Amino acid sequence: MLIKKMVLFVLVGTSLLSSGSTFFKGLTDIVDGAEKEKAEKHKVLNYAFKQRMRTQLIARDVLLIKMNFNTAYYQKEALKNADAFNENFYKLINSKEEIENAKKQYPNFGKKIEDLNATWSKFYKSVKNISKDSNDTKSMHFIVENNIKILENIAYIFTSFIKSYQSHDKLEASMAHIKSMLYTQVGKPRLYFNQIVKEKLAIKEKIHLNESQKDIETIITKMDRLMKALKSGDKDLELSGTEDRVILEKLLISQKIWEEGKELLLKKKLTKIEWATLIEKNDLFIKAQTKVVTLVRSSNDN
Amino acid sequence: MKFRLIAPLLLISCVNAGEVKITENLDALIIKENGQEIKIERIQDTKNRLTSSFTKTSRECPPYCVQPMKIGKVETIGELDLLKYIEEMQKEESDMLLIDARTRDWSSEGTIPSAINLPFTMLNKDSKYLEKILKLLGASRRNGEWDFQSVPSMIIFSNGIWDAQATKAIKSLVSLGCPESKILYYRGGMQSWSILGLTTK
Repeated sequence: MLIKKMVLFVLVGTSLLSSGSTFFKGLTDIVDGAEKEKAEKHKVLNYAFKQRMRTQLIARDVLLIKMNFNTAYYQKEALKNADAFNENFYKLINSKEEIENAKKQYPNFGKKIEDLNATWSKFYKSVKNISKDSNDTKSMHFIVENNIKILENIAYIFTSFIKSYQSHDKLEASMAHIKSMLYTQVGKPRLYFNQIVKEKLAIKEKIHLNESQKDIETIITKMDRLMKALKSGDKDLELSGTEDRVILEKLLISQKIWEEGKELLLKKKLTKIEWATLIEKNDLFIKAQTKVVTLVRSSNDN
Repeated sequence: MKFRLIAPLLLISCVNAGEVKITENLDALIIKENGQEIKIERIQDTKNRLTSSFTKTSRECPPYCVQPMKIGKVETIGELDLLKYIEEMQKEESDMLLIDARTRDWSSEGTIPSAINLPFTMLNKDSKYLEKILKLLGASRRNGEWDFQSVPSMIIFSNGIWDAQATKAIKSLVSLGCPESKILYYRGGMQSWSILGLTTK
């Protein structure tokens, strides 16, 4: 049977409110301008955000240099990450308006920046030294002993920035909080993996033996919980999980790499080949989880 | 201002459309935007299911709480009303605006054809863009108060029945002095629009 189909065609005029009109353009320009301004402010957050992972990666690479593992390559990698940290750090502390704004709300903020600046200068110098001389034990010790301090200061600065940006509008602030919690948590497994490998290396190199072993166990537990929470949710971690098939697929890839890496991490002693496999898993995990981060940031499934 | 009833069909044509109609008598609505034709229709694949974030049933409340059916005296409308208004908006003498009140991170994922994005945050009384926006909309200041007489009628929507962004935008406009009769609330929002498989841009 032939069914008669009806389509409504609208004769088009050039209404003042149509998308081609000056009015439409004017309004779009204002909203675009506001978005641009917001994006500029968020750049500062991104500078701080990116720094967190780098400190752990630098410390890990320095320990790999000490055990003569691909020395030339990791000398370059450590310096590359330190240069990037340095560049972002100075962009961060030169964001005068944002820094002043955070100082007003958080009395410790200025002191934290000063502390970080002082520690970072020595840290950066130490990385430079190691990039030239892989046997510089003094610089290696400084890096291993101070990376956590730098990480903690960066975390404080990051959190303070997020809070100082908080909107006065309750709805907007609440929506932004959910997103920022998710972005922070979804990026964390990369930080954890780097940190565990670094602690494992510290044990091998007989630095902080007891603390490192304890740290490894604690972080593995945190990592397991977080990986599960990213899929299925966890009220205390403020995560609701995801049903997004693409994100779930990518999370499964990360999870598989993590499980393979964990098997090695739980072994008391590793052979040279196992060390190479573990480092490979660590790097693969960072790439895989970065894909998850990108997907989550472009999704509204939260 | 009262909304006029929609004009009769301007042109009815026989075409080979699919089986998933909008109503028994309407397959699609064709409009023009930025010089390009957009056919507003439902997805023709009867096996199609949503995979977007609009399949999610539960979000944290607050902020994502079920919205009231009516906001003050503002009229609430459904999809067929909205389609008629979209048709109306295409006319030269149209005095109507379709506003997507969501923040840009939501609206950039897809919106209703012919909508303009005006995030609810920009209509807050302390927004630094407020004056510029209201003037552009046609409002003027008289004795410290905003006069909305020359402002077009506005249909406002956000993500749907669980999202307060449209509600917030409507409340802000009303608190600034905009008559409730100038506003329509499309409560179903993007989720209802998407679940019907209607075209998005």
